[in-house]
Amino acid sequence: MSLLIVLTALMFMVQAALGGSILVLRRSVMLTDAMAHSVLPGLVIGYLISGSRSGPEVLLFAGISSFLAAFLIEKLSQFGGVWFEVSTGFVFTSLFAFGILLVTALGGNIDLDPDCILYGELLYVPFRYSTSGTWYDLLPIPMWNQIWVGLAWIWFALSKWKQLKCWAFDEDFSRATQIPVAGLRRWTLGLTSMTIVVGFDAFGAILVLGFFILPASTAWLLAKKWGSMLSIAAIQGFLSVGIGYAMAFQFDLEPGPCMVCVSGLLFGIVAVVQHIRNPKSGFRPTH
Amino acid sequence: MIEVHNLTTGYGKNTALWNIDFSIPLPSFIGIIGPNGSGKSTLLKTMLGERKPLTGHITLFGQPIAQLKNRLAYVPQLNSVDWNFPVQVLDVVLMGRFKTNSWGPFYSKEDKEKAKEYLNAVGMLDFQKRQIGELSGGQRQRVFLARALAREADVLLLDEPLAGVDAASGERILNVLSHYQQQGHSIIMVHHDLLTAASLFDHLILLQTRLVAAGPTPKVFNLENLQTAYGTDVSILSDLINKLGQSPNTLTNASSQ
Repeated sequence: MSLLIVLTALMFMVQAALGGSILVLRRSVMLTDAMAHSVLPGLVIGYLISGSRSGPEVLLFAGISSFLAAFLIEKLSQFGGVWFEVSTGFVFTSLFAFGILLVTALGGNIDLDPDCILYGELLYVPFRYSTSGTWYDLLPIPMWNQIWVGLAWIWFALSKWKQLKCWAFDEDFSRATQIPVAGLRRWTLGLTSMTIVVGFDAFGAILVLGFFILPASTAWLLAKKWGSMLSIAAIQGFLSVGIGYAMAFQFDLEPGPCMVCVSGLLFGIVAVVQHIRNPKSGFRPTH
Repeated sequence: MIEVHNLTTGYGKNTALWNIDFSIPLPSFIGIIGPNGSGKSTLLKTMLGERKPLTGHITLFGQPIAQLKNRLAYVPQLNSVDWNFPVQVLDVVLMGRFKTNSWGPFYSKEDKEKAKEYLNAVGMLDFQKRQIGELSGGQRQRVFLARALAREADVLLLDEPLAGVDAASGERILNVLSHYQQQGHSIIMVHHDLLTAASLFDHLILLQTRLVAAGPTPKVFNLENLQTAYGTDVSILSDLINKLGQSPNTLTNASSQ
């Protein structure tokens, strides 16, 4: 039981470490928050079509609606002349509000309450198996979802390693060097929306953002190389899951919030230590 | 030959350019000069294909620029990137070795050797393992130059490579550029310093959101054109021209300190 919960969380951390590192360095990590909230209308529509909470339709529509949010935010700020924060603010709040309306309007006949949207249901992970009669029944459905998306992230990060590093560092140079910047951004956001959709289920809309930002930011304080940034982010995520879950188990608390708290604490410790070591240069060893 | 036909741009944050039209034979060392906000960087970025023109087009060696990206190398302004980025000097230079068909995290032995060779050319080989944030402005610019050289392209485009750069680095950069030019390559460079412009470049493009003049330096760099572009008091500019006429070398040295 516990093992399945921890494994699910660990697999989520791999995705969040990769996606979070890219988005933190590209300075658009708050997009994750917007995308996490924009999942809601898609979730409800998927639920209405499939009649179940964890069917592939739900994941598909939720993914589409969060990707659409990222797309709209970007286009509005690019062509509409609206500030990025402003377009982020109004796109995701509108979509989230629309989602809430759908949930409450359909209230009685839908097993989706605002609570589980905000907090997720990590503890229910081990109880949701498929019943297809094949090897797919061996692991809970949420875990399979994490595995597929996790593998997609790893494939993406490894195969596009050089392009990602160059794009994250210097977009102008990347464009002049025939690196397909638009494609990389679309892939990053697409995979991020998949991560959010599979993570949403377990952690809820708000905690997902913590997992994208905290490990990647801790890594940013320490790393001097691209590869070490990604690995430190993953390791920080793993530690947060391990310690957070132990804490939740010991004191009978919700595991998701415990993990995020531990992650925040780790970030704080690293920041303070770095600052003591280099009092003149903020939290980072260099300038 | 680089040809710019009826080029007009104007989009978002970029300075507008109006009806730019000129052609300059290659190989040559071309300087883009003009006052602040005259569209120097915009012209450079349009040449790179980063900005789409509203009207007109640019051809290089008789071909549209979009088809020639692998023959161009770009040195952006220093402040266009975050220098806290977790990457080491050699990794930055290796970015110049990226090929569109390359896959996976590793560069070939040849790529690494080339990257070190160009890092050596700009005098930065000893710093290859440093995190880029630890470098000074001049050193950062030299690393950017090495990255562009590692592309082994025919035309190098630079956006104010001497801005915020110490004298030693500036001299090193100019040496590397003149060596690059001697190999038969072309350089197009945005430049802000009028004092050195006349002695550095063999061709000049003088902008003031419109084209004031373009062509061989002696034809462009005269009082009338500069006054049109800068609108400054005639006496200051004529002083400048006189001084340059008398002793261009002393002035070049003085301004690089």
